[in-house]
Amino acid sequence: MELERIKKELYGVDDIWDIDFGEPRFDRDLTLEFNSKHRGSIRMGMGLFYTPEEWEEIRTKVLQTPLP
Amino acid sequence: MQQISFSDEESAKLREMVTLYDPTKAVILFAEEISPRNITLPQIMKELRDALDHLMRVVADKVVPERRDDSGYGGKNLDKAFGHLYRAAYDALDWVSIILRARIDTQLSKYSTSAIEASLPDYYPVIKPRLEGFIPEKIAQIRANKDIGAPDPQSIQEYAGLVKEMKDYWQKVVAAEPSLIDYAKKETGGKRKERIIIGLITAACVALGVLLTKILS
Repeated sequence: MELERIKKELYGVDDIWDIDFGEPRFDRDLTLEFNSKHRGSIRMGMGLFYTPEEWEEIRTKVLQTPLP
Repeated sequence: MQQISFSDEESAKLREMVTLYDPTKAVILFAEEISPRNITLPQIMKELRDALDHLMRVVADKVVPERRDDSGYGGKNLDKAFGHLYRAAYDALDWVSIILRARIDTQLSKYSTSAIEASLPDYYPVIKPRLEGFIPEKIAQIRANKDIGAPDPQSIQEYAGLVKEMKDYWQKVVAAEPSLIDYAKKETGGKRKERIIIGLITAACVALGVLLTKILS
C-alpha cells in the first residue's frame, strides 16, 4: 500500500503504533516565524497562546493578587 | 465486513471516557471564549492529542487483524487515553478558574468599597471569602490529590462544581456593572459638590478676614 510505503520511508520503522508523540515545545517566536510558511491553528499562528512557563507565572500572579 | 466489538470492561471504559470528554470540551470552549484576547492553552490540546493516539491504538487493535492482541492491550490503552483526558479536564478547569478570578478582580478593582457594598451586597460577606478562602483551598487540595495513574471522576466533578460556583459569581459581578457605574457617578458628583462647598466656605472666610482686618485697622 502506498501509505504504508511512505510511512516506512518517513520514519524507518515498521510499527509506529506504540511510539508516543514527542513533547511539543511551545515557543511563540518560532511559531510566528513558521506561521508564514505553514498552515495550522489560527490562534497558535498568531501567537495567541500561553507557554507553560507563562501560564504558571500568570496563575501564580492571579492567585497572589488580593481581590478588592 | 466484520463487526467491531468491545468487551464489557472496554465498553464501560469507553462510556466513562465519553462522559468525561463531553464536559471537558464544554469547559475548553468556554475558557477560549472568556480568555483575554481568546488566548488558548496548547497543553490541553496536547493532552487531547495523546488521548486520541491511545484511542486509535485501541481501534487499530480491533480493525487491523495483524494487530490483534488479546493480552489486555485495548484495556491498557483505554486507561491511558482516559488518563490524558483526565489531565486535559484538570488543566481546562484550572484555566477557567484562573480566568474567572482575574476577570472578577479586573471588573471590581475599578470601583470603591462602598460602591461594591451597595451594588453587590453579598460580595464581602459571601463571595470574597469563598473566592479567597474556601474555593482556592479546595482546588489546591484536589490538585494535590490528583493521580493521573488512578483517575478519580468524583474529584473532577467536585472541581467542576467549584468552577461553576465561580462562574455564577462572575455573572453576578457582570450583572451588577450598571449599578456599580451609577454608584460611581453619584460618588464623583457628591465629591464635586463637597469640593465646591469647601471652596465657597474658604472664600467666605478669607473675605470675612479681609473685612475684619479693614474694620479693625
